Amino acid sequence: MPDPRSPVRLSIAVNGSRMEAEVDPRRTLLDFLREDCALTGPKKGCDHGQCGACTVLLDGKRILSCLKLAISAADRSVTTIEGVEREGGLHPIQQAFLDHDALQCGYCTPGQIMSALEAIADPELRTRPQIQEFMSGNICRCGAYNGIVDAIMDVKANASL
Amino acid sequence: MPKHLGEPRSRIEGALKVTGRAAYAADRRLPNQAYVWAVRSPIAAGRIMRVAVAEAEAVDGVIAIYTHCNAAEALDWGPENASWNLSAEALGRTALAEAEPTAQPLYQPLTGSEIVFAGQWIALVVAETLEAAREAALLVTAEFVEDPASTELDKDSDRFLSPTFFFGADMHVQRSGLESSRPDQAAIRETYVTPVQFHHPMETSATVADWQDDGVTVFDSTQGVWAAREFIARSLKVPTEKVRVVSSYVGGGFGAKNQMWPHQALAAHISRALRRPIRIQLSRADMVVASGHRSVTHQDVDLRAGGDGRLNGLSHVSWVPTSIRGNFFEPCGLNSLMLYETADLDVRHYVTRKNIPSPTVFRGPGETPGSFALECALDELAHRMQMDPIALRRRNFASRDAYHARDWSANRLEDCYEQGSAAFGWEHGFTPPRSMRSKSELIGFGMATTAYPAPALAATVRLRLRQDGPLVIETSATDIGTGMYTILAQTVADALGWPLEDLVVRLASSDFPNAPTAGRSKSTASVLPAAANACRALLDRLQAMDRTHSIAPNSNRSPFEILAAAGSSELVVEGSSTGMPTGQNLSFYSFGAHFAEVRVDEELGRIRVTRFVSALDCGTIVNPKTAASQIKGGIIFGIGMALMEKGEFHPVRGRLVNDNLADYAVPVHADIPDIKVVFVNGADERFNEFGARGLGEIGLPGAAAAIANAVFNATGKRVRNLPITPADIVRRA
Repeated sequence: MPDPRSPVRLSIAVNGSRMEAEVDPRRTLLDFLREDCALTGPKKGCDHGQCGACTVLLDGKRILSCLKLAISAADRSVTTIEGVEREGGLHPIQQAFLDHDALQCGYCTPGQIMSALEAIADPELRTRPQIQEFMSGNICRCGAYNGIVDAIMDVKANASL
Repeated sequence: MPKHLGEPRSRIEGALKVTGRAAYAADRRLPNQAYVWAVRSPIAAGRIMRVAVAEAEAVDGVIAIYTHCNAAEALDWGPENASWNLSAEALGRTALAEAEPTAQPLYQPLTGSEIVFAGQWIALVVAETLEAAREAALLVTAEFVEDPASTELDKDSDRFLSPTFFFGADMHVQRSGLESSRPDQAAIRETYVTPVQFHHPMETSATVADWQDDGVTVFDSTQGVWAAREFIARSLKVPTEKVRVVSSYVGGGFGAKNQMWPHQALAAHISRALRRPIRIQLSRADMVVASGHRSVTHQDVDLRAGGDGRLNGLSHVSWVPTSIRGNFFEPCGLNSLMLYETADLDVRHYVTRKNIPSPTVFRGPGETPGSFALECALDELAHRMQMDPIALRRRNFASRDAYHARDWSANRLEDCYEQGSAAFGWEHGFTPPRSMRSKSELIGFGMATTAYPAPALAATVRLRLRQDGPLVIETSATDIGTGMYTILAQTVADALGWPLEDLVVRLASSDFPNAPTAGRSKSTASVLPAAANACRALLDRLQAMDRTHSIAPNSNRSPFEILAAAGSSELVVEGSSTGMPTGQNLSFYSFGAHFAEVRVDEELGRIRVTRFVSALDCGTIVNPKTAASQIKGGIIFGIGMALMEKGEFHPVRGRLVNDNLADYAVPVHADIPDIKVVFVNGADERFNEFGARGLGEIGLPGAAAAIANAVFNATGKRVRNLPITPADIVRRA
């Protein structure tokens, strides 16, 4: 019987580029992105799916990358905060975060923005309470909550997406 | 040139943060880096008899395992008093020294077999990957002899120590008023309990250490790089200049990263021993045992007032724990010393040792738990006397700082009451509990005063003017989310008439000039005056160069032209500040008033904070945008403290059981209403040339009291033991 720790060769499309690596089957998608892809955007806040700092898009839907094994994302497409900018400029939600001071220390910010992208794309989410409920898996200990919701409402109201 | 000081400006480092490019300590990944995972003690008191590491060592990828048996030899690891006196464990030791003439050695992991709290690190596994380190950590086994452990405070049977002087104040103050002849008309005597709280910054503490040749570079999540450098250098027994500490971005601190903790030195020791880069990132569970917490507090408050509401007596006695081998304790009575006028004053602190991880500074240490007790007691007194709680506080307004026998440098607390109540829509007069209702919910209003000292320490800022590039500002101050990057740029831009976008601010490297550790709301008042002096030095130097190298003086040449004419490629100047103003005999404090609206569903016991308004006197506001964010952050900590947060020890095992973000609830988006922050205008001109005070903490003290007072106003239920839970509401009195 093969050692279950034996590295597995896998390929994941990360921000449009194919990333190939020999990966410990126990490695989370978050650790794959941070350690194998050398990305700094997806953050480790708890490693238990409790804080949202590691939020990325998997095939366009937000997931907690610390709760997903890298091998289970094989041959799929991952978008991290590094893949959000448009033609070298900030995405409207990134600019709105700056405008509304929707961050302090900035550590939860990539995860907040990845969740915000889904909130913006979802036409069912219209009111502040709906946005607040949807975003409640992304903790901000600095307390930038007012600004984050302002930024999302602003983009929803103004951006043509 | 637009003026920037006093104007709302977006964070200049914000683009790096919203794109994920800002690299925090744990984001540093160096070639050949190894990973560390800690093994923790399951018992809270006793002795390690044996640690078995062979099975763990056999795991593929394991490089080394360190325990108390081999750390001294393999890592040259303590016990080392020269460095450990700089550690978090030492803070408070002087205050307890008189009560404990023969002090126990300070706690330092992996230096002995003694166990003094559950969760104590008993082994560190170093491996090629995180997966291997974690697998091996599970295979480290230990045998213990267990002693009885005590984690819960017991006022009646614990042995308490009387501390002397801490946080700039006597911990034992008893003063009798000479004219306390007014008869008491009302009295309140109650005990208030605040919970164990975890800082839980979103970035768990992390250190990446890279030993090369004879020195080490440390990427660290510290709030103070110079302090970290000194601590690590002394621990390694190398000259200070052999250690370089960088913490360009820090993912929140709130006190957890203010003091020096073992992992910061251990990473450097391991990197030196193994000759390769080492990353230690604390797990979320490690955060509650290896970087401090706020302890439980029990506080007895006794208020006596005459018929007009004036205080005849204020007594505030605190009972708090510290750890077995640490020393920090909550100085709860600080605000009671100075915030209200009273004839008699009795403020005392008692400290007992428990088998708990060492508590440490936590946003508003002392003032935060202390203000909960004091401001709730005042609310109870106002209710007893059927007075408006604001009127009661105004009646007892301290016209000067009686404890320090000094006038205030500036005190606009009265304006805070006025502007805050106007912004909130506070109904002046006595509003009995249970008098407001909307459909199925009871509505309550509550308020509280907040106050926080305005300290300042010496700091130095360096400016680098180059012919070919932006003006560079360098200082070792950290920006832990506070806005330091931005306010420093605003200051220099205004002083030099320089475009904000042509400035580069570099912070938090120990290569840069000294600035104090971020904490106790002192960075603004320490660093900005230094920046102003650096700007003056730069202008003086340019003027001198212009005179020397110009045919036609005062030719209005640009700084770059002056530099070119002098044949100089770079001009470097420094400016320093000296800390607190001297020779004035004044007390420097910030003040504020919090107003909370809660809605309570009595059937479900659900409490929602639906509005929150704070009016604050923090002197000149340098950047209203980032300042308001900091205040809101403090208020949100207050909402967590009032309604959610409580660290709990296992009643038998003594372990902190809710050491994660699922079992320890913190405020999330859905918990937070729109918060309105009103800054009461007015410079504190006698404090510094900007008239600005720091404001990192003042949003938090009093915030939980305002909510608890609002819950009482809504329901008639007075909850003196935080957090206020649904059970407190549905329980029939």
